[in-house]
Order: sequence, then C-alpha cells, then structure tokens
Amino acid sequence: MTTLLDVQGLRVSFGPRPAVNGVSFAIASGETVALVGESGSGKTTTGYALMRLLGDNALVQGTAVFEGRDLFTLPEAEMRSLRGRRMSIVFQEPATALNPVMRVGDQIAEVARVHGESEKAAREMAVAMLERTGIADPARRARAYPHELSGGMRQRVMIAMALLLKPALVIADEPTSALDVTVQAQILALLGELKRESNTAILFITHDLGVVAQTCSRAMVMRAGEIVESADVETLFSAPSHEYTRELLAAVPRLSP
Amino acid sequence: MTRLRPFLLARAGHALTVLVVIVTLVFVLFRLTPGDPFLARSQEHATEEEHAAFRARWGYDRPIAVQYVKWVGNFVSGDFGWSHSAQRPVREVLATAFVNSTLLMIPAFVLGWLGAVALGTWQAFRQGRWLARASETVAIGVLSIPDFVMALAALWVFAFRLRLAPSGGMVDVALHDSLTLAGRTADVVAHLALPALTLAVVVMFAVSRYHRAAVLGVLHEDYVRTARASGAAESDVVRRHVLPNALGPAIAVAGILLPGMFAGGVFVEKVFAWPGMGRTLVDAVLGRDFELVQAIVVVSTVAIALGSALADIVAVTFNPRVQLDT
Amino acid sequence: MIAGQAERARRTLGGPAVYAALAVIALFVLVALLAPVIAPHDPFAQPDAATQANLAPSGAHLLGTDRYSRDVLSRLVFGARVSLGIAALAVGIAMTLGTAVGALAGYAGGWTDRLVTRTVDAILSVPRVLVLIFIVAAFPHLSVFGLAIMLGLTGWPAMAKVVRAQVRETAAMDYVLAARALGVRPLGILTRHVLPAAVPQILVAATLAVATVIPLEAGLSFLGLGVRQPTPSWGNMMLDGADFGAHTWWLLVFPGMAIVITVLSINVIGERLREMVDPRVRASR
Repeated sequence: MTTLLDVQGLRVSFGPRPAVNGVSFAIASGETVALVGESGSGKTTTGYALMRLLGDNALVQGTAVFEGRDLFTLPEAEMRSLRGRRMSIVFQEPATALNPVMRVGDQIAEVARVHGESEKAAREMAVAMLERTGIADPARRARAYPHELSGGMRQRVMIAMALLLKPALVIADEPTSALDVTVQAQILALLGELKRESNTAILFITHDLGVVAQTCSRAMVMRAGEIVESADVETLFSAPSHEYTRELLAAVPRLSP
Repeated sequence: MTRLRPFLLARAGHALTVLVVIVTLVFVLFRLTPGDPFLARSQEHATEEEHAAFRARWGYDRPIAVQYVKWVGNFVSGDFGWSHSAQRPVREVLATAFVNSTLLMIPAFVLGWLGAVALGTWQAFRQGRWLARASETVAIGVLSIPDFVMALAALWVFAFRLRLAPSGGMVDVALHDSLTLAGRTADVVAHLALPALTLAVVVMFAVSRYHRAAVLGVLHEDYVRTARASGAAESDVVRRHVLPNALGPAIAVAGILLPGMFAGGVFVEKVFAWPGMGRTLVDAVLGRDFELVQAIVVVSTVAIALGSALADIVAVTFNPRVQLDT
Repeated sequence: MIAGQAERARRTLGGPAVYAALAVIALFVLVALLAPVIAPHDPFAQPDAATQANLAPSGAHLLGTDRYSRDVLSRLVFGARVSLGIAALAVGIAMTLGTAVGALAGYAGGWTDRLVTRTVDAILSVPRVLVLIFIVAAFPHLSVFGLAIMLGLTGWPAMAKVVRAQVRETAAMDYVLAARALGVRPLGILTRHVLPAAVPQILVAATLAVATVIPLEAGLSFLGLGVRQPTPSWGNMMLDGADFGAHTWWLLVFPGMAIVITVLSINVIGERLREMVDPRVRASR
C-alpha cells in the first residue's frame, strides 16, 4: 500500500492558543482511519485544514503531502482542482450543508461540472450516483429541493457529492451524528461499499467509538489539539496505552456487567 | 409547485384588503376637513358651473355613504375629475405626468438597484478590509444628505459650473419641436441623465445596506462551504449559491421602493423641473387644485400596494422555501 | 480607577466619530436654545431691501443677507430652533403614540394584535412624503406647531412596529409569566417589566426617527409646503438660493451644510446605538 497523505507538524491557530498543535500522521491509499476525540479536540479543524477550507483568520503551519504534493503550498487554482475530484469532504449537518434553493440533482452535478464535465454528462452522473447511494426513483428525487428530503436521504446526497468523481481521500466529518441509529447503520454500510469500489481512503472524524469499531482499521486519538495515541483498532480497544484513551473507552456504557 | 396557488390567492387577498383600507382612509381624511373643499381650496375665479359640476361629480350634497360609493366608482371607472389649474381632465394630466415620471424613475431605479447588489455583495465579501469599511462610511454620509440637497448639489456642479448637463426640464423648449425623432429622443435623454443618475446614487446606497446585510448572513452558511469543498470557483459560488439566497431583501425593498419613488421623487423632480407625478403633485397643492391632488394620492397608494404584492410573488418564485413560512 | 472608567467610556462610545457627532448635536441644540441671545440681528428684520439684499458674507453679515436683506446667520440660528424644535416635538409624539399602540398590540396579542399589525403595515406602505403633502393640501394654513404634530402623527407606525416586536418577545419571558401568576395587574407588568426592556430599541428608533424627520421637514419647507415664510427653517432658506443665476451661494451652502451635518451626526450616533443594542453584534465582539 502506498502512502496517500503524509501530514507533518500541522499547527492551526485562530488566536494566541493553537487549536491543532503539532499533529503528524499518514494515511495509506484505501485505508479507513479514524480521528477520535471529544468536541473541541481539534479533529474537525484538522480535517478542514487539509482541504484548506478554513477562513482567512486561521494560521496554518506544517506540511501535508498528498499524492506527492504539499497541499499547503499549492496555488489556490490547483487546490480547487483537487477539491471534489481527488479529495472531498462529507459534512456533519446535511440540513444546512445543502443550498435550499437549488435542486439536489443540480448540486451533485455541480461537482462534475466544475471539474470539466458537460452539463448533460454531469446531470447523468448525478442521477446514476443517486441510484448508487440507494435512493429509489433517482431521476425524480434529483429534481427535489433539500427540504423535501429526509435526513437520511440528504446525507446520501452529500455522500453522492463527495464520491461522485471517485476521489482518493474522503474526509468524513461526523457523517452520522445528526442521524437516527437505524439510518446510521445504513449510511455506514453505504460508505463502506462505495469506498471498496473505488479504493478510496477515508479519514473518519468522530467522537463515537462504536462507529470506529465498526468501520475503521486504524484509529488516532486526539485531545486538546494533539494526537495522544495511534494504533490499529484491535489494539486500541483491547490494550490502550494512553490514559486518555482508557478514559474514553470507560465512558462508553456497556450492556453486560 | 401545487402549493403555489393557494399562496398566491392569499397574497392577492391580502393586497386587496390593504388596498381597500388605504383607499378608505384617504377618503375619510379628505372628508374630515370641514366645508366644501372646492370653495376653500380652489382659485378664487372658479365659475359657478365648475363648482356645480364638482359637487355633482363627487356627490357633495349626498349622504356620506353615497359619497363613498360615488368616489370609489369614479376612480374605478377612470373618471378622476377636472383639473382646475390645467383646465384639462385630471386623467389626462395624470397620464402625461405618469409617463414622464416613468421615463425618469425606471432607468434611475434599475441602475441604482443593480449598483446596490454589486456594491452590497462586494462590501460583504470584503468585510473588515479598510476599503469596504471606508465605503460603508461613505454610504452613511451619502444617506445623510437629503434628496433635495443632493439634487441641488448635482445640478450646481454638473449643470451650472461644469456645463456638462442641461439645467433642468425635460426638453429644450426652444429647440425641441424642430428636431427629428432621433434628435428629440436625444434631447430627452440628455435632460434625463443627471436627475436619473442622482436618483440612482441615492437608491444604490439605500438598497445596498439591506443587500450587504443579507449577503453577510448567507456567507457563513454551510452550503457555501460545501460549494467551495466541491472545487467551485468564487464566481460560481457567488452566482449560484450566495446571490439566489441573498437577494430576497433586495427584491422586497424593490417592490416598495419603486412605486414609492413616483411620488417620493418629488424633490428631485422639483429641483430639476422634471414634469413628473411628484412635481405635478406639488404644483397642484400650491395651486389649490384639489381634484388633481386627490387623484395623485389615490393612484400612488394603489400603485404601492400592487408593487409590494408583486414583489412578494417574485420573491416566492425565486425562493421556493418562502411559501412554507406563510 | 479613572483610567478604567475612561477605558469603558471609550469602548462604549466606539471611536472619535461618535464623540464628534455628540459634540455637534450638543452645540446645535445649545445654539437653538440660545437663539435670541446669540443671533446678531433680528431674523425677521428687513433693514433695507433695496441696497442690502443678497449681500455676500462680510464683516457686518457673517453669512450674508437674503433677498429681503435679512441676516442669514440670524435666520440660520433661529432656523435651528425651528427645525430642531419641530423634530423634537414630532418624534416625541411619534414615540409616545407608537409605544402605546405597540405595547398594547404586543401584549394583548390575538385579534387586537392582528388588527393593529395589518393597519400599521398598510399605513407604512404609503410613503410619508405623500401623506404629508396631502395633509398640507387639506390644511393649507397649518402652523409650525401643527406641522410638527402632523409629522409626529405620520411617524408613529414605524415606532409601534419596533415596540410591538420587543414587547412580544419580553412578554413571553418567564419572569413576566411569574409576575402575572402573582396577580400583578397588566398595566403594572407593562410599566415595570415589559417596557423597560424595550427602552434600548425605542432609543435607537427615536434617534433614527429624528434623522428622518429633519430632512423631511426641510424638504417640505423647500417645496414651499412646510414652514412658511417669513419663519425661517433651514429648508425654506434654501429655496431662494436655488436660483443659481443669482450667484447667491451662501443662501444654499450654509443652510445645506447645517442640515447635512446635523443629520450625519444623528446617524452616526444612531448607528452606534444600534450596534450597542443588537445582541448578535455584541456577542461577536
């Protein structure tokens, strides 16, 4: 397996105290890696920083070599050509992450259009992708507005957008936190299928250890802007080496005594 | 879109109610003043026949309910009365004035509104940078200048001192009739330029405040970030995601502002001697031409009620979510 | 200790612009109040219409004379009295009426509220200028006092809207419900709990109302429909100056600047007040 993304010494600050303080990790192509932590640990900021989606008020330092190039030194135009095509992001809150006055099919098609496809081809790809994400009657649904869809369907739309162009890396930022438990399981299964098809690596940002256990092969625990432990999932759950990881595991309620 | 029709009907009903209320209020206000308005307000040398015709037309010797019916009926059927100062039917005076006002207001408004959208969007995107902040200060400054002062200043600088524009009126009285069609059009346009630009500047700064606030509200929405994450260029993001969601207030303001300009443009019309509705109204008041005043007030308020209803409908077509809020 | 208070004052006032604006308004109000003492001449006196008319500013007449040989500076000073006085009275009326109606509608709710809101919206959709011109047409011998009252009567709907929104919000709060449960009469609740919460918004609205009324009165006077001659108002003083051919720039510039500076200062203060009062803006600091 080749190294897809190599992050060294990532620091992000919005003011005097850094939100992300010297984080280093690597992701191999096709891997599913979890970035675990409580809210405020800096995990979402790490994800946004990689996509260079943080605002002007963020100071980003370090290197992130993706497919051989340092993301932080790329000119904006080249970064734009990577976004959505080679790396993409699935946002946490599908209700607000979709444009309310634009049909969902058009929003999905926009990803293709922006990267060079014709209007017609883009729309066809969008409908095909909707079908692939398990939405029935995709042609009709494509003409719907976000508020006409359920939470689970909206998240499928977001996934369709993120995986439309078969990127090498998908950053999934708490993709199931806003959903019911039953829908969660479906969405996770969907993500698993799609990534296997196109050998996409996933950086799974979450605070839910149950999700980590289900889907990831490796996990990194983050706390106060730093990675405190990084191991494969079995080791992490059975023999955690850092105290914080032990606390996190202990906080998960167990059904059996 | 099946939910659109009941919404439209409700909106139309609402507009109609507002219309009836306003028109009735106008009628009541007019009748509040004691005595015969014709005698008190018209010029002294009105003839007895004119007076009698006036009383008959508006039913002054009949009970108030009959007067109201007659009043509404007259306006609905297009009989707006007789203009004493112009010695022509009010309807004719109004028609000319209305056309003249339209000639001035429409270009002024379109220019101003487009400018406002551009300015407001730019200010929102560049918020915090010094140039944007400076432009916001300029905006407050410009908006603190009353219309007539702005008009006087513009006239003095551009027409009187720099001689770049004619000094008022709609046409060059001496030359106009002897010109060809093209010449006459050019003449009107030349006279139109300065007052229209003055109005456009005022509109631009007034509307841009609303639009800027709206864009600022939209800029931080999640779906803008989603668009950027898909690799869209900024111009795409603005065109397809920001503007459609942010234009709501600007459109609503347009619906109220545009008809309002027809009578509210009074000051500019007076300073530039432009023979539109505003100036006609003022002259009618000064000349005690009661029927003309009455007609202008009614027509203007009707136009405004219709305008805001229209703006609502446009807003709904733009933004399908608005229906649900009603 | 003093440094701390000065720091707080500076943060509250928000910059030199607001200081300047407050100073300007204070100055103008002072001038208006002391007009009879300050004015060098009688604003109505026409000493010599033949030779002293339309004189440019000079030592004898610091701001020149108008076509009736009246001293412009004196008229400007008394005009301040007229224009600012009208604004104060008009906004006072609008505030009182508007608060009363808005509080009633906001607190009562139900069909009273709906009725009031519909009426207010209907009135608000008509441009105020139009209504005022029409009132002047109906009452041609309106005095300055009457003009102020009419300005106030056309201004209350905007204020009512603001007050109603605020009252509705406050009336839903728990401490108001508690007061009602304890048996406090509605009037008591209104005066002691609900209205005080609305005061900041009312102040902002009142300030902006003044910034609206002054140009309105000036404009009407300029048209010959507001304050009538010989009473001076900044607006009607500019009427004579509008004849550019006479080259009497002082008749235009001084009253014009007076109006613009006043309105600008009030807008600056009003904007600052609005910032201070808006909870969203405060949170983002």
